[in-house]
Amino acid sequence: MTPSIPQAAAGPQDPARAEAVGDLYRRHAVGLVRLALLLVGDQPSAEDVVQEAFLGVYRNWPTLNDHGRAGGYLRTAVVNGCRDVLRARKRAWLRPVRHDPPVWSAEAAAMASEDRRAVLAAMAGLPRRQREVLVLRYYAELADAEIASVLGVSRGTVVSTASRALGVLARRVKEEL
Amino acid sequence: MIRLEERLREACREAVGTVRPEAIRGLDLEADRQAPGTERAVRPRRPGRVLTATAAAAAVAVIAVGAGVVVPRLSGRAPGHHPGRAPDHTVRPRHASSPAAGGLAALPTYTVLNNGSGLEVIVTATGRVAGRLGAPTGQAFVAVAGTASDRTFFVAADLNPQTSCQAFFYRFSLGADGQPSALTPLPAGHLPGLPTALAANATGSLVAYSVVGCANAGPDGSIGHISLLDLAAGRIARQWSYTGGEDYTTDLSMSADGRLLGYTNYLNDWQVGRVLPARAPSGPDQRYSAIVVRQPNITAFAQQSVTALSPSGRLIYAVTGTRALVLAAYDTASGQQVTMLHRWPAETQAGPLVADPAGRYVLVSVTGPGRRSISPYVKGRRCITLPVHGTLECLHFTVPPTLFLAINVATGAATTLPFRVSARVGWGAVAW
Repeated sequence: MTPSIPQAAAGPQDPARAEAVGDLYRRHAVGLVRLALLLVGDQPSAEDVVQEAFLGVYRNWPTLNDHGRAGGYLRTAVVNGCRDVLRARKRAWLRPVRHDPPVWSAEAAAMASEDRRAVLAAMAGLPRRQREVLVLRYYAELADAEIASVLGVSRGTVVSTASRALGVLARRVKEEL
Repeated sequence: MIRLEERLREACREAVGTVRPEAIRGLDLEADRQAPGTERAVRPRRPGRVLTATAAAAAVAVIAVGAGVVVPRLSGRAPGHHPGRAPDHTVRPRHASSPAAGGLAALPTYTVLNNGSGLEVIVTATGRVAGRLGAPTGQAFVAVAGTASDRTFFVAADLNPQTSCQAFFYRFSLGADGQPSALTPLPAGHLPGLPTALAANATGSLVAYSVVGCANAGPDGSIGHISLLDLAAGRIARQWSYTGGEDYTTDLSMSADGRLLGYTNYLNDWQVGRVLPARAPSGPDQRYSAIVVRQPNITAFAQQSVTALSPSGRLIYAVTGTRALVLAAYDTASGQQVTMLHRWPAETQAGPLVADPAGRYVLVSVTGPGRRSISPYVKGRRCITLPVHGTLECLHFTVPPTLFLAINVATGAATTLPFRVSARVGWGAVAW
């Protein structure tokens, strides 16, 4: 069965803009939700973040210089949105819901092999910046320069952060360097 | 290091594999219209994700933590909740945020419950009865089953009173406000036998049902059958017969793609949870099904096992146990228990088990142990009399209400849903 693509659901005031953003949504929503899932740990929050990122693009559409680069803008917005979510959780002393780490996300988590779970659990314990770099590099398959652009840091910082993160991860999953 | 990098890639790929494109809610640009020109005035977050630090909420949370459950916030305005705006279920997938859903935003919008006298359409997040549907005259509903859409449901009925052995099958849909439509008979919707279980695939194009005969076993020893009804073709595509030793099932379930059926029946002294590929040819179910879960049925007090397939069909959830009830997930391919989700005291009765079509929750009904009490006998009042030290006393049994729990299959966290019924519920009594 071919999975259906998420559709732009509502008709806003500016049909042309809505169509353009809707098209972006169809092309990028799934990948961005998956990216956000790896950063925030649960799909509902990931969808919230992505939804807000697209609303941001929709609002700012007239001021975007290059609409062809909206994908990059969205990626950055999603990473920033994930940071907001994680910050809010840190502040939270009252949590109405439990947030599921990606390792145990929904039923597939139960099926995840021990190895994958160990790797994901180790990654979840990394500092936020290190986790972002690893996700963007090994899930989104971005080049270091692109990661630097998304995170707003230098390429050198990306390289060193990734190196440190891999070192910590290797120790945690007991892999020899 | 290269191996670690590869492991990282694989782990990420596996983790994101749970995100199904069809389950992602659509882009809701309407949210932006609520506050035009305001940059961050409208945050379409799922309700319940935002913290409301009111004293009342805090008290609820403290109680919830103490009780070991997460209590949903059932009322109040949350971001994404637009007062005065009618719920627009047509533009959102089923598990999208529901304004009133509080912390249970991912739950199905509606729960359909067979209360014995008819069906109630309940708003899952609030417990409000949105609609009711009575059985056709002279019939009683037996089992109800849902699809991935929160609009389409199927229901099986039999005669009331059972003057003869007939099974009826219908479809109905829910309007935007939860009001049920009239019943539409299914193509092969009137059969000899008594319906015992019902299931549907995600799209509602396939319906499986279990029927048990009222007469003696047939010449092949069959006492009933599970059938697969192809609604598009309007015909029964497959039929698998039960044999006398295994009894019939009461908890049929189907994977979202309709390729796998899950159910429980007996094998000698065991209750067994089986999976049956829907492409298997018609014939005895034992020949084509595989046993995934088994539990000894050595005493009359053994808990009736209940099972439900996950939407993907990769897992089957089962409540088993005699000393304590355990809800666990089993790999349908290997039969291995992959995770234990919840545990209850042995006196508890766990009823129908329903998997959330999005794969996030399992709905289970739970009834606590009944209580006995004695009161002085009053002449003329009907009760079960009991001689105690030469005088008559009245013996009362009190059955506690049945609660409905949503078990998060990722964490095992149990959330008590805001509705209940005053007695134990029967087979197939509840659907998502």
